[in-house]
This record gives sequence, structure tokens and C-alpha cells, in this order.
Amino acid sequence: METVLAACNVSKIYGNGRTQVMAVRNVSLSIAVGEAVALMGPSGSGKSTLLKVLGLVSRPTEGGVFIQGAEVGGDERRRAQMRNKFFGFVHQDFAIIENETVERNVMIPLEYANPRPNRQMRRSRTRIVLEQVGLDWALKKNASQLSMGERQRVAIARALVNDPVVVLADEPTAALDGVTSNEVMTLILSIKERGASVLVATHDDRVAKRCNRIVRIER
Amino acid sequence: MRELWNGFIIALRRWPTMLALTGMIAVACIVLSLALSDVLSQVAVLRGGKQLRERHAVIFTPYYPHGTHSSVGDDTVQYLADMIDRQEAYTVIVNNMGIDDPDFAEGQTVLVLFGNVLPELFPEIQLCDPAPCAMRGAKLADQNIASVSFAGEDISVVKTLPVGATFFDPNAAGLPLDHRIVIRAPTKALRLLQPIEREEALTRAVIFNRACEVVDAYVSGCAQGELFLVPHDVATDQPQRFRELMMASAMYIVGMLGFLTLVLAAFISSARLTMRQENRTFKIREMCGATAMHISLQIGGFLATVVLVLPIALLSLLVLIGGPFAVGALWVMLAVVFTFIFLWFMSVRNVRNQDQIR
Repeated sequence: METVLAACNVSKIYGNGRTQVMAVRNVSLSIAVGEAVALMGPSGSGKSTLLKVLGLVSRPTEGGVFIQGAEVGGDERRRAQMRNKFFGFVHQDFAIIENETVERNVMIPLEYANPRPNRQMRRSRTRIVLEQVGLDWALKKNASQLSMGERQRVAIARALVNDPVVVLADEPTAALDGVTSNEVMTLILSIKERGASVLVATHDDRVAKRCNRIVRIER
Repeated sequence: MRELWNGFIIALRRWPTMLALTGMIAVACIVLSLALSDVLSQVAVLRGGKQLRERHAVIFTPYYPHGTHSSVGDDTVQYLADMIDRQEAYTVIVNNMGIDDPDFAEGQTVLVLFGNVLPELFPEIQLCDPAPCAMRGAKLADQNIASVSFAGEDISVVKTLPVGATFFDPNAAGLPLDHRIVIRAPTKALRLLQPIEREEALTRAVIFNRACEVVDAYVSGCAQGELFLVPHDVATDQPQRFRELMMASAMYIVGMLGFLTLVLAAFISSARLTMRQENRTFKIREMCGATAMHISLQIGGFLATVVLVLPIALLSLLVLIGGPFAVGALWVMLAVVFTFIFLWFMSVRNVRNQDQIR
């Protein structure tokens, strides 16, 4: 199967000198097109850091990240464009802007798309993904007025709005109850139907079992 | 432009907090402008005092043993005029010029200066030169006063003094000139003054670098006309009054500078706190494809909305209105812009350094 995203001997070190912390040590990983991979490991094993490195939010100290076979370079502008074009992010704490409307939250990736869709297209695309996650009624609502599960669905809508190639989800169900957690995972995994891939960092066996493959990372 | 607008939207999202913060900053800036204008005039006082000390100036205080009116003879007045012409002295009339003539200088308060040494001694006032000539205070700029009739001569009003101009009077500290007509009079006019004007001119004489005999001769000459003057050498005697004056000025400056520093520190910490609260927004946008430039512009737009727009608008208004506070407002405006640049730089650095969405 064709590899869409790969990490090759990736290490990530935070700080320097005596405060230096090695968050990820020499990890290699590849994800195929349309595959859902669960990334499991104990707390502090570097799951979130690896997700950030793979999602081009953070730079690896050593090793390289490959997207569709091409190594990602160091140019900041290019990395930002690739981050926008290839990835959708879902976080444990939802990472949505509380005092902003649902529409504006979901629209953010479209604002940085290249080429940037016009206002009407942005609105229409936002409405479509909100319908997909069952939140079209909340378009003009303030994000802070929504329940936890609804907030996570807003985050998922934002992750999907740009038609990403890979969705990177960091403990997406950790703050949710069992039923909502199940619904959220169904939504995240539904992206596979469009040929996109999913990488989920999780502690939850039930979440991991719904993926095609489980990758374990040691501390 | 879009990112600057996004920055504005971030500020708008928390409008009650931001409005309170920007209001506080604007009020602090206005207070600073007012305080700074005072500090600047007090600095002029200190600088004037230093000039006098360096020139070993002798000043006089009057002593009235019987409460009688003085009538100092022309020879003593001429003695002072000669010293003024040789740039060894100067004198001023602050209070008593034309008090019997309500139409004098069209009813405006005047300050009369005698002495060619004055422009060199107080360069910050930017006195007209050569004498005779007259100037109007900044607050009288729109008054149509073309000339002043003084000692039988029409003296043209040739310029407007800088806003907040302050004359150093060793007996009365800083004398604001914004509402005064300042006349640089020729020394020959000294002899033509009314008795009360003449008495003030003789009393306020400041003599430089002179031997005791010169001062004695002057004091004796005045005493013969029933004007009893007590000389004080500014450099060596440091009369208590003068020292207290200087001490008060120095204390005021230190106090005000301390206040300015405190307000500035409060302002910076409030803005930094707000930036920390908004850090999450910037990180989310970065995650969604914003570059460092986008984030910097957004932070700039946000900070400009909170710390720049309202304070600069109000300060510009103060500058446009003019008056003694305009100079202070200009300085505060400069400080606000520098603080904005500093905050912008620090905020961008902090956001860039934080790896987590919090």
C-alpha cells in the first residue's frame, strides 16, 4: 500500500544542557493511504510529541518526516502550507477558541489555504462539514455554549474542513464519556471513507481496537 | 491586513476586558502626559539653578524695615544697566509691570526681561533675539497681539514660545510662560520704568562672577533709595530658600519618575497577561497553517487595538490642543510606541517558544 506519511529515525529533544529532555527517541513509523493507526504507549512516552513532529507543528531534532514520499524541508512558509493542506488536528482538550463562534472556529484552516477560497465558499464548506458532524444548528453559536462532546465535534469539523490527507488525533476521547467517545471516534474514522488516513494517540484499548493497526511506543 | 484584522477580532472577542485595559492604559497615558509636563518644567528649574551656580550668581531678597516706598536713583539703575550691557547681570519684572494700566499688553500678564545673556542662559525657551522684541506664550498663539507699547516704544511680537516653556526665577522656581507675553526690553528702558516696576527690576537683579565691591556698590546704591537688598551667593551661600526649592523640585522629579515607572510596569504586565491568555488562539491558528509572519501580524493587530489606538488618539488630541501638556504628550506617545514594539517583540517570541496549546 502507498505510504502517505512516514517518520524516519525521528528524535525530539526539548531544552538544552542539564534541562535537556529527550521526548522522542529514534522512532520510525509509516502510515498507508486510508489506514487508521493507533499510537499507544505510557504517559511521557512521546506520543503527543511524535504527533506534533509528524504534523509539522514541531521540528525533529534528528531524523526526517516524509509526506507522500518526499522529505519535508525546513522552510517555515512551506511547512505552514503543508500543515494546512495535508493535516487535520484533533486534541484531547478540543483546542477550539472558546469565545469565537462555531463557524469562525471551523473556518480557520480555510483562511490559510492556498489558494484561499472566497468568503462564500468558505462559509458553504463550513456549513457542509458542520452538517457532517451534526452541528449545523450551532453555526452561529459561541463555542463556549456547547457541551464537551459538541466541542470535540467542532474540533473534528475544523480538522475535516480542508479535506486533509491525514487526521492526527491526540487522545481525542480522553475527556469524554463512553457514548460520546464512541460517536467521536466514528466521526474521526469516517474520514477513511474519503481515502484519508488517521493516526490516533490513545490510552484507550476500545479506541485502539477500532483502528487497522496498533503501534506501541516505549518510554 | 487580514491578519491585523484577525488581531482586532481577537481583541473584540474579549471586548469588556480589552476595553477596560485600553481605557486604563489611555488614562495612565493622559496622567503621564500631565505629570511629565510638570516634570519637564521642574527639570528646567534644576537646569536654571545649575546655570546660576556655575556662573557664581548673586541674587537679592528685599528687606523693608519701615514699610516705605523706595526711590532708587538713576545712577544705581544705570549701574545695573551697564552690568547688563556687559552681560555681567540680568534682571526681570514678573509681577508689577503695567499694573496701573489695564490695557498694557492688551491685558495679558507679562514677563519683562533685561539682558543679552538670557538667550544663552535659557536656550530651551528659544527667546527672540536681538532685543527689543516680544513673544507670546503658546496659549496666546491665537490672540492677535502684534506689538506691545513699552517705555514709549512699540515692541513687535515676533514669535510664539514653545509649548510648556518655563522661565527659571531663582525666587519663585519655574514660571510657566504659556499664558504670558514675554518682552525682551532694552536696558535703556530701565530708567523709564514706574517706581514699583523699577523696584522689582532692581530686586530681581542677578549679578554674575562679581567681586564683593561690585555687589556692595549695588546694594549701597539701592539702600540710598530706601531699597534694602540682602545679597545671596547662589554657589557658595546656597540660601535655605533656594536649597529647599531645589530639593522640592528634585523630590518631585524623583516621585513622578517613580510613578511613571510604576504605571509603565503595570501597563506592560497587563498587556503580557492578556497575551498569555490569547496564546492558545495563536497556537491553534499556527496549527491550522498560519506562518510565523501571520502570527506576528495578528499579535501586532491585537496589541495595537489594546495598547495603541485609543491612547495614541487621545494623546494626539492633547498635542493638537497644544498647551503645556503637549510636550509631555509627545514624550508619552513615543514611550507608548516603544512599549508597543517591545511588547510585540516579546509576545511573538513567547508564542513562538511555546510548543503546547494550553
